[in-house]
Amino acid sequence: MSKTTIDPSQEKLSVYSLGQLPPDEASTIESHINQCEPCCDTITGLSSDDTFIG
Amino acid sequence: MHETSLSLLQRLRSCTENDDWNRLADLYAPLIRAWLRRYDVQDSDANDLVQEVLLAVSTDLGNFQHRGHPGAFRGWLKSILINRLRKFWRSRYRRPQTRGDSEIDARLVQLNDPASELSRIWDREHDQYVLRQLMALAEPHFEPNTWKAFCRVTLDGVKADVVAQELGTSKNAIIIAKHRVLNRLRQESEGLVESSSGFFATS
Repeated sequence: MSKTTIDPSQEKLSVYSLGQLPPDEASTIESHINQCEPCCDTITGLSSDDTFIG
Repeated sequence: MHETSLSLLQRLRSCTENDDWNRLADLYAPLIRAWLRRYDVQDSDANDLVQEVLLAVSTDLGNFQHRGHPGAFRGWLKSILINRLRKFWRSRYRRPQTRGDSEIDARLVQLNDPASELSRIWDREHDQYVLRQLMALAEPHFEPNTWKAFCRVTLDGVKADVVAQELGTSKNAIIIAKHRVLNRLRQESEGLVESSSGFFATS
């Protein structure tokens, strides 16, 4: 699958993964990771001490 | 669930829509009732006290200052609960039969101390309880597979690629599903649950 946008930073992916981005930024990242396997791998490899759900 | 970008707390402070107040009452009444029981309030008195606490919340919410302090709302709610309990027991001629009023007072003092074990129990139970209730309210607003993906990854701790296989979809779709639900829950609970206080933080 082709990619048309630059990979977001790991930090940005981390904040996205925690559901903490504002809607417009989240929407942009969502469009990107919908077609970017490496960024999905980055997100699944992130560790978190988030206690929001737990 | 409300379709604006405001949290439940923000909506309550900015307007007086009945739906939002009813949601707050539905959300908190069982938690308040459970804590009243711990302070020997009988069920026959609990309904009135729950209403008194919720009325105090609705009356004073405009003056409540969150100031970004973690747990500010639950601490404020706890102080209202303590005040109502003190008034209740002071106004009662009869005292709990199995416990002395001084023992009730001592436990209220403990609950009032943010560093006490009882306070930590309140904090933990409050956050877990509110989140569970908000999840129950949110679930009908998502497709079943979106919700299932969120639960499997976030609650069960199953890896996204495994859940993708289970649900016959891509890992990308699972990550997006998890994000959508988590984002909605954080937004709705902003200001109510401590660990969601960083919502919209981008650094």
